[in-house]
Amino acid sequence: MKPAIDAIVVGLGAAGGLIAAELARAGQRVVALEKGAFYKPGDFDSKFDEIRYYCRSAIVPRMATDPVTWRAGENQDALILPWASNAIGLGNPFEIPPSIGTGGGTMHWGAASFRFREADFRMRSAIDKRFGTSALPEGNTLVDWPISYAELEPYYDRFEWELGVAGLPGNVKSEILPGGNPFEAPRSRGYPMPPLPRHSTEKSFAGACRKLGFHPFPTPVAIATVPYKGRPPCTNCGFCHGYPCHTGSKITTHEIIEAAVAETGNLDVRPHARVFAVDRGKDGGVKGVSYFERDGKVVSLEAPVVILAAYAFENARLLLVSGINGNGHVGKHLMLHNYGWFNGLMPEPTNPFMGSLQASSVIDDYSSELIPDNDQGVLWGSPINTWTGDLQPIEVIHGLPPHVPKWGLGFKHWIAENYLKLTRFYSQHSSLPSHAAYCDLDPVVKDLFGQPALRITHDWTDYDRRSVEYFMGVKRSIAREMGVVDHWEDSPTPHYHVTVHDAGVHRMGDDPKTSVTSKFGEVHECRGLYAAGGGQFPTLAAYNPTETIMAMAYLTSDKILGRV
Amino acid sequence: MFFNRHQAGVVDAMAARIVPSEEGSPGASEAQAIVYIDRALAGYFASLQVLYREGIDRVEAMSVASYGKPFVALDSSQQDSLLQAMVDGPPKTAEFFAVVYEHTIEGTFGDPLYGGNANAVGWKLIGFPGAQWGYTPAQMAKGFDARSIPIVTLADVGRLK
Repeated sequence: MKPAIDAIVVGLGAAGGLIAAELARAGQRVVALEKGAFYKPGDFDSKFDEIRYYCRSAIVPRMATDPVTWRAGENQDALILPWASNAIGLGNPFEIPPSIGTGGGTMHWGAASFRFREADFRMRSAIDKRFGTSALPEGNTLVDWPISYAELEPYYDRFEWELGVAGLPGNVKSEILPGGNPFEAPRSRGYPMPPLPRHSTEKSFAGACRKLGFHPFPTPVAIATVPYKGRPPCTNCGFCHGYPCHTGSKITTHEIIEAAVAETGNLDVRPHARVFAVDRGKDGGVKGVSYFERDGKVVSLEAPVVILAAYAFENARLLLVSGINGNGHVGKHLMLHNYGWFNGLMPEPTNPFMGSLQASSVIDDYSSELIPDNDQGVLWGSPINTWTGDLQPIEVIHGLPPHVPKWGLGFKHWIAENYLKLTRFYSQHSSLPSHAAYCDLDPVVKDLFGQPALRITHDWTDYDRRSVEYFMGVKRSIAREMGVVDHWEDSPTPHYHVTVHDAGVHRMGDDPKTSVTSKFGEVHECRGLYAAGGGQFPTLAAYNPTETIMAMAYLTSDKILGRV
Repeated sequence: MFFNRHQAGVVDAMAARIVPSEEGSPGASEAQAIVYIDRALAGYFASLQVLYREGIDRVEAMSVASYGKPFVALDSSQQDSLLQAMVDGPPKTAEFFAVVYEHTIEGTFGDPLYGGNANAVGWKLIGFPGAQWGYTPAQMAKGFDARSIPIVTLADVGRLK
């Protein structure tokens, strides 16, 4: 008998939103279960609201309903994310799991859209070869990916052209092109759109980098810069990271889902549906899922294919509560980005609230395997990114320099004088997978429906600190060359342990004994079950993960549809 | 909406030391951060009503113990000392200051639709033009005077419909 539902997708973020739409467009009857809302056109017409989206974190999960706990080490009690559950509220949306509702993390992202480098897919062998295995910190679980850049390249290309990414290519079929990134992996063609309009600090940053021998190139973005497939160009409103887009210029899977529902008639989106278990048949294969409706009513659905795409953390939690962890690798190998924030003041106004944060350049000279030989033991590098626009007042006040009083006339005079002169750099130092960083089910804390919260065990290591400090040195030299008059830096071992780029907790691999999924996201031990997203990453590159997550989501869709 | 007259006076006086007023340069009082906080406590932050009730009592107790008079009757340097003593004090006292600090910032630099930042005085202070639909490449160029852009608030965005 033909099943009534061909596939169930759990979570409509970067991976799930794309997969649900792909399957529906291929004629499958898909039920998509989303913990948050199914947003409507017009919901975000007046999104220029720092109180709503930043201070009150309107579209991200709440610790009261979706608790996540953290402890630095095994012998400590875990607390509900202390930096996000105090009396003030949720805190910085960068330091809690990403947005919920249709679109998920693609509602709030800054839309930096990078491919990973060729070497990022074979980090283990590259480090072994260059530095020797003994250079790696003790307890690391570093491995190569089961897929190469070349295998994923057609999917990167598909993402960039089907959905629309803006940038300047630097390497098309191994031909190095002026203005782009000379270090990028070869691409089969360029970008379909030119970069964003340049921010006021672009000339200073790019000029300083060139003087120092670096090769700046415009940050690639998943934002329409010219009309593209019905998406209008970005208006440079400057409410971008943490904010939904009011014009639909930024790629979101919300809009992909909305279109697929209208076009296919066979995509059933059920918002406010909180999946709590993967159900299995007698043969151990997937049978369906069970979820709570908003009022707590339990619904069970059956389908031969289930795709978990609820963010790395929630995917791991669902696998663990469903008892799918035969080899013990679920929840292990947790990796985070350490952003290494560097803030500075220019002598002249920069107008830091205008435009996307990504409206300037980035350098890849020391990224990944390009890290220079060094005495600090840094084995893998990061790009240095600029953050030029998109800085609203309250967020800036939360990051005052330590030498400025937090309140009183000293504070008032500083912010009045300097708000307009801000500029910022960051990088994305990836922690190495290890036995010490993982997540499991919290033995005490439960959510509103009595389900166990996920518990994160993670602390920054000496290796993390050295990586961040190495690149702080590079940032300082760029800042000096730019004429930055004052600067302040984040701690190399910051207070956050959730980063919206959390990865690795259901790692993929060819060997079912040492990995959770195949390269297609199929969960080895449960036929018909998939776990998609950054949780699959065996190692975390120092780039924003979303483009790679979505390229892999295309691959997963093709696998389910029998196209690969 | 939530505060009684006395409580509003204490919190307004605290806010006025966090973002002080000067001649020709408004602070949290002129921004009516107190209106923002009062509305927030009656609505979104209703869960913090007890924290405010107890916190205000604590401030008054500290003030009477140190200076023999209520907080609003202190001069500004005494108020500053008392607030600093809160920052350095036991966890509950420090927490109350942290919350009032945060809400004062929100009520001074958030959108006026929430009740604070009256006449956008907070945004005028720092040069932020508010809820703009977008900026042109010419406005984004180096040297553009952002203070020449008329301020737009969420209420204006609503009126455009």
